[in-house]
Amino acid sequence: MSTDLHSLCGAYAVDALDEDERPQFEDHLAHCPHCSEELTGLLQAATAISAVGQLAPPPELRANVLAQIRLVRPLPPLVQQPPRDGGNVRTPVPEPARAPGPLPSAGDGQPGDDLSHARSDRLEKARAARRTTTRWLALAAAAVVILVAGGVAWHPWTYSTGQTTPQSAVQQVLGAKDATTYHTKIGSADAVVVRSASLHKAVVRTTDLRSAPSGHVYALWYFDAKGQPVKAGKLPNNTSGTTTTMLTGNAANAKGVGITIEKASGWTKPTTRPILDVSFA
Amino acid sequence: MVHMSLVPPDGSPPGGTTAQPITGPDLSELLKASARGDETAFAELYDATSARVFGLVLRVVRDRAQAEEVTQEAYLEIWRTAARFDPDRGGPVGWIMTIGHRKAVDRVRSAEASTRRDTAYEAREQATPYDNTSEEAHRNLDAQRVRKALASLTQVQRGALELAYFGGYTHKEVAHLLDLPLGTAKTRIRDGLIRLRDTLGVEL
Repeated sequence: MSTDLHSLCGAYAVDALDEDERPQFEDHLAHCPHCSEELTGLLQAATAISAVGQLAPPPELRANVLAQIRLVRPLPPLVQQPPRDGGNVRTPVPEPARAPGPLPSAGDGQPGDDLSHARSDRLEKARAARRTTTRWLALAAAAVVILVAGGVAWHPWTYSTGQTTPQSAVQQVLGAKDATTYHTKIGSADAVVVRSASLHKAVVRTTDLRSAPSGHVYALWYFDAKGQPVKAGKLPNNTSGTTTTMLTGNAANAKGVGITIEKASGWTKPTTRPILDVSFA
Repeated sequence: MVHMSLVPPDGSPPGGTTAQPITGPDLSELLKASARGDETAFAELYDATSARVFGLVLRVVRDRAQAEEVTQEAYLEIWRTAARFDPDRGGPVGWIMTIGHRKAVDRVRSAEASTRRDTAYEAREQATPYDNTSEEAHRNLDAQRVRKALASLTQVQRGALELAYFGGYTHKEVAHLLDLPLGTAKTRIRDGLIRLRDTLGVEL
């Protein structure tokens, strides 16, 4: 078993493992100094390949990125953990989240004790207390910043004929003048729904949402005027970090958005209670 | 390559982010500052790395609008997890590229991507064939070294590596695509990477 996992090192370095293998290998990696060392070199080799084919992104992307980071609080560093029992004490083996495959798994945020900024500290407490007013106000204020910026910089539907790349669909919704933002939670994960009535579209953004159970998906629904669910796509399979997904179909007459957990194939109606249920009030 | 001009053809700002060397600003320091919420440092980090991230993401997802979204998601992730960057492991460029690559691979593997390609406004945008970017690559010495190193691999190693890294295919899919016995593609990928590592004498 262990030898077998070992052979996955190269494929892991180029993200060529499937959804089942990836977590298995990451578990293995945390306990295998040999793989950990080999991976560092293989990752560097993989990274070198990316020197081929560099291309400057359009300038608007920079503005969008810099506007959006204001909505996102950087995670605290991982503070030293005592080694796991039975672990190799002499060789410090990084936690999977710190290993070169760097995407942290859901819910690994560990509050630091020594946050230097009072504001961060407050946000930290707010997070612990989940829904405190401070946090929501801060989020709402940040959302206003980006939506206002969007209103100035983005002109949905009027594509320039020059070299400028049109805004993507998601960015159009986020930047629409009538974009309305709804903050909610899925379990402990933050979820934000942004809907533009004039564009007939809605977007769901989740942060640190645990991936759907194996063989299942997060199904997206619009609720029509009669409250009936209308299939509207699904979230990506990997929901670690922040993911932004546009619902398929038309939001013009929708009264709300829901997410349910469904079997990965053949779902047509919600069969479980929604884990997210937002009304466009 | 004769027609290459010093001014980026796409109207990107002067001193823009094409052909960027890996040297330059200390990316580890910029990541540390970003982890403390320093937006200016993050902007600098973006300027130093975005051509590399965007070029790779575009090659994987192919569709320009999606490449922009994925690149944006990657930078949000980099911002969010900057405190988790460990300078002892792989270096800042490796860490950043790993995030960008994984986001791109996740995108092409998600069925959502194919659905969204059908939506009206995305349909208006043409995909950018990869070859458009090759011109940029030639400006870059690193890229030339890497091309040479890639050329030194066996055909199967190279094919497997490219399908995995640029195609976003799993090693099992790569085995199918190359008619390899199941379980051998991962070995070819690993062999290829080891050879690349040794040829390049990897320091990035």
